[in-house]
Amino acid sequence: MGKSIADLKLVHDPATIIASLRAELVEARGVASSAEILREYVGTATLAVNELQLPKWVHEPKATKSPGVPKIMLSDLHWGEQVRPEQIGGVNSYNLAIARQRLRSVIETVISLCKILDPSMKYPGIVCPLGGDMVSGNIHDELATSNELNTMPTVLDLYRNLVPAIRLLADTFGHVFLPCVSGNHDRDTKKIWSKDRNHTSFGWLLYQFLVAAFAEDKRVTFYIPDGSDALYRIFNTRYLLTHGDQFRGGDGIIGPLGPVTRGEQKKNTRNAAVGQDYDIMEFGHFHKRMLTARLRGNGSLKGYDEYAADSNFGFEPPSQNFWITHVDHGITFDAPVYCDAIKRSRKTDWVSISK
Amino acid sequence: MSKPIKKGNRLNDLRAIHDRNVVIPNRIRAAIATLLASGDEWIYELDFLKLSKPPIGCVDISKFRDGFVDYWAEMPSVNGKATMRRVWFATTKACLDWKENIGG
Repeated sequence: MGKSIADLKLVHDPATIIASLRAELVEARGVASSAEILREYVGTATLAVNELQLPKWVHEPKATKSPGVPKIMLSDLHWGEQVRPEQIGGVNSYNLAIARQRLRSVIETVISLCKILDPSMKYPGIVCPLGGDMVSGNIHDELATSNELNTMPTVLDLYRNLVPAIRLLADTFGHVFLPCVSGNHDRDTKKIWSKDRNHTSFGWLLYQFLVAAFAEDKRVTFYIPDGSDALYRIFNTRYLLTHGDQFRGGDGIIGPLGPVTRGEQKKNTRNAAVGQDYDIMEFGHFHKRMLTARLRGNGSLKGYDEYAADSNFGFEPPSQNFWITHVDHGITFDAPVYCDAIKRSRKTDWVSISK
Repeated sequence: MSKPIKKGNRLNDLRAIHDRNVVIPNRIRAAIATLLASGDEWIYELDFLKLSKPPIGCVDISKFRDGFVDYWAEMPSVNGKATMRRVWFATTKACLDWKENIGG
């Protein structure tokens, strides 16, 4: 088709150009409005500088004798990735079937632990941060060729497993609050983007699917900020959830503790300057359970892998962090939830000394 | 039908080959015809020059453009730059419409 006078008007007729720009402005306003609707839909429209109006149960426990609010952090699931035991000395194995088992085991163990802590289960609810790296993603050549599934079917498979997991938590605890952030493995871009990080993330897409799945279920609340950090509060303890990929460096002795501590300092200074202080930063990314007064580093569902073995990182069994936030004391009970089923160990005395 | 008898080289034939006052306007007419045949209603002058084989030179078009004022128009600047661009139209109607409505 040839160049018409209409085409010429688009580039040289001031009136046509102005009309076109006006139409673009209307469309842009529409998109901005859609984004607002979307935020409203996912429950983050009322954010005052990124802070969500939390469900009431988080602030006021319905029973003062409750041990507090339990929390199970789910991060670094790397759903779809395969770890071959023969390549890492047989210490771990991971694929979709194992991932499904481990996720189920984590949820069942959390319920079991909570029943031990309070047999009457008078918890006001449970918090379940989804901390990113939910899927393996085709972000490196080796992952693209070795993942069990491509990213989109992986997202669907994870969705099908997370929905019953969250529903079981809601049925058991009454309420579930899920702050969600994206991880570096979730990305759909060559490098992670600072702009539109979430809108280029399969993790974010998964969270939106979950929001839709629980749209009618008032017991389940999601908090999906547009940025990389989620700031929320349980009673009087302020948490900042982030994936942790912003912290780089470290050495062979202290591992990621140095960069994470430095990064946390910077983040806290940044947040304090704009009235978004927090007490504890929770993160994943390093697949290392790391606990200090201000840090809660999560393990991973995937566990030890070829990269960790090649880099001579210390072995750590797959685990996810569980803890209780008490209304007065803050964090009290703190335990790793090991993802694999308990293996029968050889019989030993409950306590002994070396002979 | 009888074949026309060649009467030998005429003066007009010589002008058509060597007189720039005839050669360049002919090339411009040929370029307009090519533009019309292409289906495009307009073209920027720099591209228009190449529609003729051999192409029309920039100096030549500047000398003979005024003989075809009903085929081209100057485009108003819309980006604040001083650079002015000329557009050639396939038909005088399109050109006159443009000049009446846009005022180029």
